[in-house]
Amino acid sequence: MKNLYLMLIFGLSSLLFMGCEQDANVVPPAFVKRPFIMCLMTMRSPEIKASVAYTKPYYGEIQDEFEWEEHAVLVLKDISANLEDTFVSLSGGQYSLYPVKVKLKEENTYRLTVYLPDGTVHTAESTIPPKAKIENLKATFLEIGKPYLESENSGSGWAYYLNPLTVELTYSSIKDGYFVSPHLEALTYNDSGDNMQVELYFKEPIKLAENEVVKFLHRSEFYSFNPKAPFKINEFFGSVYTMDKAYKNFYISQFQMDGDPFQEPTTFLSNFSAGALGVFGSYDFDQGTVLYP
Amino acid sequence: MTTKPSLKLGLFFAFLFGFINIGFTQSKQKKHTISGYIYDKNSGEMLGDVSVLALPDEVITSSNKYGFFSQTLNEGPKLIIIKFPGFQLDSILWSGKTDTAVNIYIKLTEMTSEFDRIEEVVIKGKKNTIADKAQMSQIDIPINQIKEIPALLGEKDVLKVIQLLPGVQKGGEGQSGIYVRGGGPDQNLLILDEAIVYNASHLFGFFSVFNGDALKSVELVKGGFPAKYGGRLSSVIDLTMKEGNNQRLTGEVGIGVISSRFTLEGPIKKGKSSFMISGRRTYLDILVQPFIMASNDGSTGGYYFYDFNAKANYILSTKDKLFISGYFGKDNFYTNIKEDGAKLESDFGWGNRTLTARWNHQFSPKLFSNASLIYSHYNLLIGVGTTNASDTFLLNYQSIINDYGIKYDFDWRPLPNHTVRYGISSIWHRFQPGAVVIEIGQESVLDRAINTINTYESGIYIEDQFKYDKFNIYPGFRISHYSVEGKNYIKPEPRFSASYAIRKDLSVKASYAQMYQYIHLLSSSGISLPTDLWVPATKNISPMRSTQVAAGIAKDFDGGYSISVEGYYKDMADMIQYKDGASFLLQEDIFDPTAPTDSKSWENQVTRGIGWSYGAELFIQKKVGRFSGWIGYTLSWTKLKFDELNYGKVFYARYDRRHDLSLVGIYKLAKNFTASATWVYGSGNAITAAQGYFPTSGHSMSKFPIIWNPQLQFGEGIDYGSRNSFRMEAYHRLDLGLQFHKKKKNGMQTWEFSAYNAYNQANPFFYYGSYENNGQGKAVQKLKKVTLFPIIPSISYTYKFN
Repeated sequence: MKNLYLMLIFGLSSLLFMGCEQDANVVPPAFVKRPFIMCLMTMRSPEIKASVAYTKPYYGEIQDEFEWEEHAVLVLKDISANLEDTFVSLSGGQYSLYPVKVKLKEENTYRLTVYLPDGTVHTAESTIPPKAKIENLKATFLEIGKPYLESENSGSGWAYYLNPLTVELTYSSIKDGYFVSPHLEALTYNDSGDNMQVELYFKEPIKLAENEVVKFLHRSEFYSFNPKAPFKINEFFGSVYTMDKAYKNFYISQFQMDGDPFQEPTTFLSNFSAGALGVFGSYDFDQGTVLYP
Repeated sequence: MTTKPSLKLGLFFAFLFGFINIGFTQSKQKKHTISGYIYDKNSGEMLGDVSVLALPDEVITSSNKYGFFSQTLNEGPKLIIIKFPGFQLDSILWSGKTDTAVNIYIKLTEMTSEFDRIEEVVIKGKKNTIADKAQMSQIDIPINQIKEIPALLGEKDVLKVIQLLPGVQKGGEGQSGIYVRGGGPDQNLLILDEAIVYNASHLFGFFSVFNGDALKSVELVKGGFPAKYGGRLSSVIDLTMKEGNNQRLTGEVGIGVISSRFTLEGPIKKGKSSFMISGRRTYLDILVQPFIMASNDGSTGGYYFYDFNAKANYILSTKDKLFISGYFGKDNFYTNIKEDGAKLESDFGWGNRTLTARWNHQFSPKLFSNASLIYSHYNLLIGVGTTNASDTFLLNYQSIINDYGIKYDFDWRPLPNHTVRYGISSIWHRFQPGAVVIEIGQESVLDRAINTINTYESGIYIEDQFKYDKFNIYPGFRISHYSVEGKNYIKPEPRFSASYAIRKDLSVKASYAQMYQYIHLLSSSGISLPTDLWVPATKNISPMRSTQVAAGIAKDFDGGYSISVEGYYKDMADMIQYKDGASFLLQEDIFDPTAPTDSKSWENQVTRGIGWSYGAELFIQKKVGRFSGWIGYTLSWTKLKFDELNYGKVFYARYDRRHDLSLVGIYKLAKNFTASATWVYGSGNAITAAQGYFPTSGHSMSKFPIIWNPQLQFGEGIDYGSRNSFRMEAYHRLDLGLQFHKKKKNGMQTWEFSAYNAYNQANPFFYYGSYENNGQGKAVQKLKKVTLFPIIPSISYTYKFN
């Protein structure tokens, strides 16, 4: 009995200790203030915009506002043509350029040089992608499979069916090394007058051109209530984008930072030199209808 | 000019068999063979790694793990001395006139006296000491020593003891995952009676699944791998269960703070066959259940783990033996919460099952074989379900591995100085990684079919351990084959170890090993959890490869001391890690209706890279005497490079640790009283920590394009700086233990008192950011650490009957 008491005392004390999970402050990583520069160019706009700010500390007293840099000098150079234009500083770290000497041309490479008041210089390069053309995008395969019963309610006689949909899109006549991303929807309809709008998702929504062709595959299922009236699609509506690698990296990183607690940390893919964060990239787009067949 | 691979292979074989030939053509004198098995007289257990020294020839060999030994010696009378590490010598006389088969029963008496030490000194040049072994980077851990080292809550743990050895690091506070010479926790081959154990963790890694009461031997190999091992890059932990006492019924019961255990072993037919069963279970859930029930309207919840080992053997004849052994273990967290008519049920469980059947056959006095049939199973299940009056939601996440294996190993001892081992093995792996079912109401929103990936992994090997003059040479070659989805990988795996005896107690050693690994563990860059996914190499994901070279020096001293210093360099290729932003739940795939309905969506979440590790290890050990223990110190660097991570720049691995020190001491104060202590120190782990915020001005591609404008959509992104560029605090801890033994009428009772983290060091478990008010109405973000274990006293009681 004495042994039993002894065990009990030790056991309970151990459990109590186990429950005492402790928290304590530790010294956080040293904060290094870094410039943050953004400039995304497109031939669809006559104006090129940019912004310059600085990172603020993650730890310590929360700073509501970012420090915007209004006194930077931003110079855009067309490397191919050896021409330069300088941005105009607007308020709040925003900069604007209506190019006079420099013209944005497909496949020309541009360098953005940012001179900061502290004497540091940061550069990045971007190549204007070929113009996006919706007519270059074709539906090269389309199949609506046989509908199958997904669920039914025997009491009310209510039932719905799933229709497998496979679509292959091909974007052609684009030089290798650039990226393409289509954003389309399809209107499906049948002879009974039912219609269903289907958004096209792709496993890889942005793809690199190889041999001047990019292919996208969509597979999904959409609901219907009448299995006897088969569905058809004969057009898609939406847009297609072309872009350089810097824009593609920027686009992917912004969606990776979505706050999932189990997510791996995301490195923001900067293409600026000398420790600056930010992106200098280019993109183009076109909107319209893709007919099938 | 580069050498063609086939030419390299040819040169290697010429080198290998040239060496073998040197030894085979040594002598023309008439020879006879003494062979047989070495048993523990007390229990009838077969004893492996026993040194067998023949005098006056001064030829030494050792028994294999099944107790078999064979020595072919010049004709004439011999004194055969048998030595089991840590125990007193035994000897027999042999006429040496004919080939002789013999079973040797030795009485295991621990060496504690000065007299024993003198005996050690007498044969110090000829015993199987650290300086005498050809192999390097290999450590045998005596089970008795494991039982004397203090442990968390008194739960004796093999893997925790292995973490105290040089070159081996633990992942974090309490975890049983191990990192050997810069390798990840998946790069360790854990085999229990030949069967692979995929997840060796109980309670998220605070305890391992290996019950010390059921084990006979534990061997760690971290470099210079024998060719019989394959399939992992960084280490082999080979555990063997007890066969069971075939002389009389014995057993052991133990009561601890969180679990109880029992072991029973005895003869089925005396001297012919025996059994061993051993089990343990935690009872925290049972103890706290009434309190949970009372406070939460019938809600329940808890955690338990159990494991069970069983083994039986039968001696068919002097040449044939059969063994069958198995392990079954499970962990389970469960909750059943009822509130306002709604019910939330969750289950989080994982477990291993293994089954091994073995047949030992002795073809001749010189040729021994072991054939094994092996089954191994690992299962992880996360189930969450909510039900209320109007709706139900159910999520099941499951990952399963089933292995079916066959092995046939031969041990051939043709000449006094040669032990040739060769064999084949094949495993059929069936993977079902990351299967998910989500149901809402009556609808199955997603039912990702548990498509099985079948893979076949095979190996064929040959190795020769031989002695030539002052050289101990151990060349080997393994060819592995792996087949998946119609793709075949055939990989050569050359191995080589050698030692040169400068003096009888001082030798220099070197080793080379190339290894391939056909399975990956996908771990998040945070802590390693049971949710980590085991995935196979596929036609798109290549197997991992490592090449390791090591060199060292070993010295034995009088009094049972030994010192070894080793340096190593290991490079690793085709490692995989999650991409930036990936999640273990593979979340994007789960909710993406266009995700392929197979079980390989993980392939899109990973990226491949290379790694390398180098360092030096110091190991000072004393195995015998009243005071025993060791000092282990490792100085190491581990770096990784992945094109898609950290801008493609080199970064430190999470488990890169500059300094790792372990001090272990066991002192027998009196015959019935043992005191022990361990102190560990490790530099902080490398982690990725947020450093700053930057303003985001997002842009969205959509059906209706808009032009990017930096003035729109301001948000905040996090700047993490470089990957793993921040160090956690260093870890250090002192554990103390006292054991009191008392002889009883039918056995021995042991009371053990221990204190884990005796000086109450607040070691970091993980870091997190937290907002606080600074007292002036301003919010402050602080970095905080969570410490799990303060000082934890524990008590346990063990009764061993015989």
